[in-house]
Amino acid sequence: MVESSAPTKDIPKKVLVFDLGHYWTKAFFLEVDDSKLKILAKTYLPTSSNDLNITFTQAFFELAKISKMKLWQEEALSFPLIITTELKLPEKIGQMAIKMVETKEALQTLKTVYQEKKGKHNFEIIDLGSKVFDSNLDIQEISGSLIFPSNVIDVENYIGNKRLDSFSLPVERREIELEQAIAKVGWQRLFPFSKTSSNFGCDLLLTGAVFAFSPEDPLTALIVLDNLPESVVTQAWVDLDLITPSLGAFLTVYPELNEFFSQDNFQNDLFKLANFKNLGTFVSLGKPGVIKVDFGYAQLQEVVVEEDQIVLLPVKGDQKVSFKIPFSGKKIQASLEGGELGIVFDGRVKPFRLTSGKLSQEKILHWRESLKKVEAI
Amino acid sequence: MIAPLIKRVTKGEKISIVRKILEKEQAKVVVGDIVSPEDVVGLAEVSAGQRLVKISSCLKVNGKGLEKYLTKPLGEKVFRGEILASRKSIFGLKKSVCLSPIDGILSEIDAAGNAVLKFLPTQTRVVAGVPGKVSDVSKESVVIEALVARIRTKIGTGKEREGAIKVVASASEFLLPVNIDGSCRDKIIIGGAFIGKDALEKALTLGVRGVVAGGINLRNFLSLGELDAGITVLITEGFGIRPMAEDVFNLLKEHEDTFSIINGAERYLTLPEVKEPKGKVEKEAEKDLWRELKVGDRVHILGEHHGHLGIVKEIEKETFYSFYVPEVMVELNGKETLKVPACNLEIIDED
Repeated sequence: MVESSAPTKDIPKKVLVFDLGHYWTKAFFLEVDDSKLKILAKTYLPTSSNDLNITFTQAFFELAKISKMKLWQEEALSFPLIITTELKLPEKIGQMAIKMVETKEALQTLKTVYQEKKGKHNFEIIDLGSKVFDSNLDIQEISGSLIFPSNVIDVENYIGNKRLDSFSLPVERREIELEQAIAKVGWQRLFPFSKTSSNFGCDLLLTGAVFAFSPEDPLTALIVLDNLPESVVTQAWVDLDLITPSLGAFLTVYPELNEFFSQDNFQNDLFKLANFKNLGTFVSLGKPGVIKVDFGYAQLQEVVVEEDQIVLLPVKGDQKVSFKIPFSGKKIQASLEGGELGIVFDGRVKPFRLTSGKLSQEKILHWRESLKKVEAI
Repeated sequence: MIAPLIKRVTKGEKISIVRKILEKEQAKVVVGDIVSPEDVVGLAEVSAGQRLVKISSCLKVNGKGLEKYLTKPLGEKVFRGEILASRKSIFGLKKSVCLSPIDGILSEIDAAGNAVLKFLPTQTRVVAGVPGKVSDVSKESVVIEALVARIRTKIGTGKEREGAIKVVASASEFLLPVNIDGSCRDKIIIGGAFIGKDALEKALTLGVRGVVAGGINLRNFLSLGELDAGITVLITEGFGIRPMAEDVFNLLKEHEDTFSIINGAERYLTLPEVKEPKGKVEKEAEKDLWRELKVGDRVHILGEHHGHLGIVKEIEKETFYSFYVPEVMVELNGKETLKVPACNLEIIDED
C-alpha cells in the first residue's frame, strides 16, 4: 500500500492490467483509492498464443478467485482493461474494450517517470524475457560461464528445446545454471552497456523470469557484475512479481498517477508497491583498488580489493555509507546505499571472458562464495 | 493452470489423400471405387534427377544470353552425345561445341550459365497406398478418402514423401549408420533416441525416403536447411538424446511394412488404417489448443524428464519458487511419481 494524495477523477478505482508476453501472461488487478494504491490480485499463466481467449478467460477466473469478489462477474466488465504486449491482438476480447500499450512504450514511460522524479538519474530497465532465447547468442561464452563441464552442443540443444517448449520452467539445478548463463550472455547482447560520461549513480531494474525465479541472490548479483564495465556504480533492483511492464502501461494510460509518488520518496513509494527487491549497490572498479570508507568513526576505514576479487560490505537497504572510490585515476566521493547483499566491490579486470574448463568453473564458484558471505552475517 | 492440449497420436482420422497421376486419361479408377493399398490408380512420370552442363565455360562465353547458342529449344528431348550448344568464332573459322552427357530434357539455363538437363522421366504405376474410397478423379490426381492414424512431431523438415515403414532401432537406442543398409532404400526408417550426422548422410546416400527418430542435435537439424535436402526427417521429442515416447513408437511398430506418407514441413506421419478403428471416427484433427489441467489427465512431461508419460494424481497448492506455478504429482507407469511444475506438462488429447 502506498499513502498518497487523492487521485484525480480521471483515474478509475479498479483496473485490470495484463502483460501478454510471447510465452507467459502476467495479470494484475489493481485498486486505486483515495489514499491508497494496491495490488488486489495477481496471477501468472502461459500465453495460449493460438487462442488468446483461453488465457484471458483463465486469467479472469484466477483473479476473481484470489480477490474473492462476490460480484466479480457483474463488475469485472466495468473495469478498464489495459494490455501491454508485443503480440498482435484482436480489437476486442469478448465484450471488453481494451487500452493497448506496446511493451516498449510502457517501459519507456516508467523510465521517464523515474528519471523525472529522481532528477535525471540514470535508470535502465533490463527486461530479460523470452527474447533472450530467440536472440543470436555466443554459445562459447555461455558454455564458459557454467560451473559444470559442458559442451557447445549441449548448450545449443537446450536453447533449441527452450524455443520449442518456451513456457516450461527449469527445475533441476543444471537447467537453472544454464538459464542463468544464457541470461548473462543475453544481457550483453540485448542491452550492451553504453558508457556515458558519468556512470555514477546508474540504477538498474531487473525484470524477467530468470531474475524472478533465481534461487539465490549471489547468482543474480554475479550476472549484474559480469555485465558492468569498469568505473561504474549501480544500484540494482529485482522485479519479483514481473510487474514492470504492467506498471509502465498503467502509468502510460493514466499519467495522473505520477502525483501519487512524491518527489522525495518516489523510489520507495513505487518500489514498495511493486515488490522490487533492493539487491544492493555494485561498484565495478575494473581493477584492484583501495576504497576509503566513512562509517562515522573518527578515522576512515579502508577496503582493499585485490585483482580478481569481489568484496562485500554488509550495509542494509536503509543505510548510506560514504566512500572515496578510485575511478579513472581520480578519487570520487560517493554516498552509497546498501541492500540485500550490501555494497559490492568488484576488482576483476574488465572486460573478461571465461572459457570452458576447470579453472573458469573454480573462479565462478569462488566469486559466488564471496557473494554468499554477506548472507551469513 | 492451463496447459497445451496436444494430439501426438490420432487414430481413425478421416482425410483425403491425393495421388498424383500423369493425366486423367491414365486413371485406372473412377469416383466411387473402393480401393485397396496395392490397387493401381494411374500412371505417373518420375524423373531420377538432373545434370548440369557448363555451357558458358564449354563455349568460353559469359553467362548471359546463352540461349542463342543452343541447338535445341528449351523443353526438348536431347540424347547422349548430341550437340547441345555451339559457337563459331574467329570469323567463323573455329567452332566450339557442347555435347549432352545424358538422355534427358533440356529444362533451362540457370544464372550461372549451366544447362539443366533433367533425366528422361520413366513411367511408373501409382498405387492407392491406402484402403479407401475414390472421391475425385481430376486432370492430375486421384483423391482417396481414407481412415488414417497420424503422428504429429515436434520438429520436421523436408517435403512430402512416401514409403513403407521399417523399424531399425528401438525407442531408446541410438540410430547408428550400422542400422541403415540397402534394405532401407525407398523406405521410411523408424527408431532411436538420437540420430547423428553420419547416420543421416548414410540414409541420404542409400536413398532412404524418410527418418523418424526421437532426438537430433540442433546444429545437424539446421544443416538440413529450410528447403528440401533430399530426405524427410521427423523428430518426435526434441533436440539432444531423447528416447521416443512409448505411444508413438508402439504405433509405428504396429505399422511396420505398411505404406505411409511423411511430411516434414507439416510435421506429421500418416499411417493408413487397414482395419476399421474401434470407436467413433474423428474429424480432421484441429490444431493444438489449451485447457485447464485436471487430476486424471494423461500428460507428457517437458524439461529434464522429457518424454515421460504419466497420469496427473494431484495438483498441489504449493508453488515452484516464487513464480506462482502449482506443483503437480504425476504417476509414471503406475509406479514412480514425479513432482513437476504444471507449466512443464502437455495434456495428451485422447478419446
